[in-house]
Amino acid sequence: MGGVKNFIISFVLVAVFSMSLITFGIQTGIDNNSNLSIADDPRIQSFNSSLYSTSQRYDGEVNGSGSAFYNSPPTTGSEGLQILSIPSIVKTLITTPLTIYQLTFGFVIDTIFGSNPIFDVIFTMLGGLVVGIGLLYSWKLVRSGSPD
Amino acid sequence: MPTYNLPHETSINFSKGPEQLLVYIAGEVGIFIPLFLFAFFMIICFSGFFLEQRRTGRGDFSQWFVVAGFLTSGMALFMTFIDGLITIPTVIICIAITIGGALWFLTSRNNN
Repeated sequence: MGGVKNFIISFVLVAVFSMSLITFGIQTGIDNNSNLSIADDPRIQSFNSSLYSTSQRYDGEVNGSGSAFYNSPPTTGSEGLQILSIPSIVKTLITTPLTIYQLTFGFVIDTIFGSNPIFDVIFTMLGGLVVGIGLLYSWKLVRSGSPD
Repeated sequence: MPTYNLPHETSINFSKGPEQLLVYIAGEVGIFIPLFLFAFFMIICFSGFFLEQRRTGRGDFSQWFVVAGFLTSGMALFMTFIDGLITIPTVIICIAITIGGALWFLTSRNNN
């Protein structure tokens, strides 16, 4: 794995792939008057509603981060050039993988393993690993200034 | 007296199409379609992986996992056109495995 850039791109691609696959399945059923449709499944319905609410929340965070970047003046501090919006950008970098993780991985876990609490320990470890990797890459980005 | 016993009459309605044979088997043996999809998945996944390994010397298993998952999901989706052939939980599990495979593939490949 490369760096924070590849990490975020991977998660975005997974989210796009998931949404397109599910949308394709729903639309295939609608177009062909199918007897069965994956939209009948309650997990797909809850995925759809959580996708909408999470995307709406994430949209506000990204817009806030973008406006913070454009509005922040570059200042010269004692240690060189500083941009005041770096904390909000780092926050966006952290929330991007987290948001997409909630969207896709939660659906996959719930579908394959159900809501059995026995698996919670394993998935908490896996989730912690993914979040930890994201945090380390963000820290690396702040320290080195290079997204690779 | 017949020299052999005819099989019992089944409820297969061939006037609806030849696929009713599969619908009948799926109704009698619940695991038939999941096993069929699993076999399809394994054949694509392993044959693709070993073919790539033989041709190029190294193979990417996660890549063939996603390819096989996508094809299996597509086949499962097309099976929903026929009433009684496949159940929705089977289709959803196929899609979930494909998404999980995509997560594995995209976060594990070496982009450098």
